Amino acid sequence: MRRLFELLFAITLALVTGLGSAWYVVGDGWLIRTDVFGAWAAWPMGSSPEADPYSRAVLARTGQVPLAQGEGMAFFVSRDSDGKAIRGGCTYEINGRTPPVRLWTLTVIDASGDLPGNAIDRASMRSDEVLRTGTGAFTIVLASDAQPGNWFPIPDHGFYTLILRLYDTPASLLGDLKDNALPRIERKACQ
Amino acid sequence: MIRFALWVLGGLVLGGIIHIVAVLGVPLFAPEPAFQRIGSFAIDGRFTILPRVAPGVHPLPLLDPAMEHAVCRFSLAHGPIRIRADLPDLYWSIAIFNRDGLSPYSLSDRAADQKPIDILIATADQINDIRDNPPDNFDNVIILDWASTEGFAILRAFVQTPGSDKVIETAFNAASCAPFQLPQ
Repeated sequence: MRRLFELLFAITLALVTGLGSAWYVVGDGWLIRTDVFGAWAAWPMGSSPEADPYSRAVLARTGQVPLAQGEGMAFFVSRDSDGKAIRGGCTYEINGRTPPVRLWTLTVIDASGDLPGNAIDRASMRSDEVLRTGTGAFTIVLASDAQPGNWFPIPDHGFYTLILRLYDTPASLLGDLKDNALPRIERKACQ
Repeated sequence: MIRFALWVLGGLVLGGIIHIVAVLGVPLFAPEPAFQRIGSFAIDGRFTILPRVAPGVHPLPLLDPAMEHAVCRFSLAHGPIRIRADLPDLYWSIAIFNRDGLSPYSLSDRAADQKPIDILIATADQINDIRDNPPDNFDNVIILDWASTEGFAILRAFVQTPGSDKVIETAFNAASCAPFQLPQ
């Protein structure tokens, strides 16, 4: 009888730790974005034929078609530069510059991967539209109410992820990228 | 106590094996990898223009709303596939993925020197047939040696100005992704 209990315990432990850890890693794909630059994380090997089993599992589970190596690279961030989750109702300043690329876009998605939508129908901020200072740096303000300059409206509730996509990047981009090469996200005020 | 510790250890080792099996098994059992998703709304062997990403509209996950997209799923079972497209003078790219969602080949407009896309996807046997009997006007065709017999291509083009989407859609509609008949 005791042996049966011990066996059941070991099998339960195995299922919980085995399936739990697999779910945790494969889950939403955050953990496999292993190349981290400041607060931003990238998944450069995501769709390369040499992708590891975790990347393959995430690809299959999410059904996404990531930017391939000859197209560009996407960087994700869901926390500000102090490590707090990016949420609606707060105002954020995205300060800095990007590596010199031909084209970049910045978009916001909600926890389900959907665009949150906003009153001015702004789906993305782009390198050819953003207002810059004389030095080429820019400030984009994420806020639910109107702001001067580069305003990216976000809702007043919920949690969000920013995606910075650099297009036509050289293959050497990641190796040359320093931690401060991508903009900082600073939280200013919260409602 | 030692006996209990051994059971825990055994449980954890078995847990590690289950972890590996589960991760490796996901691609086999995932209900909707990109290849299946595309098959659910697009006809194989031609480009289908995806609806522009908008709130509540995401034909595939994590596409850029600043881009227009078109996808084509293909099979090499009845011969090689030739992809041809002449896209407008703005940022565009093409990536070709296998059934597992991995991309051995991708190209941007700049890498292509702004020339029209002309790519032939073929198995090793089909490539041998072409080498034996090369078609005319084939010098500028990029030939891809495809390890499997299925896959899909995605075209992305940057909607640079509000009118670009119409120009891009016209070019996408004229693009082809069809079986290539070898000359007899």
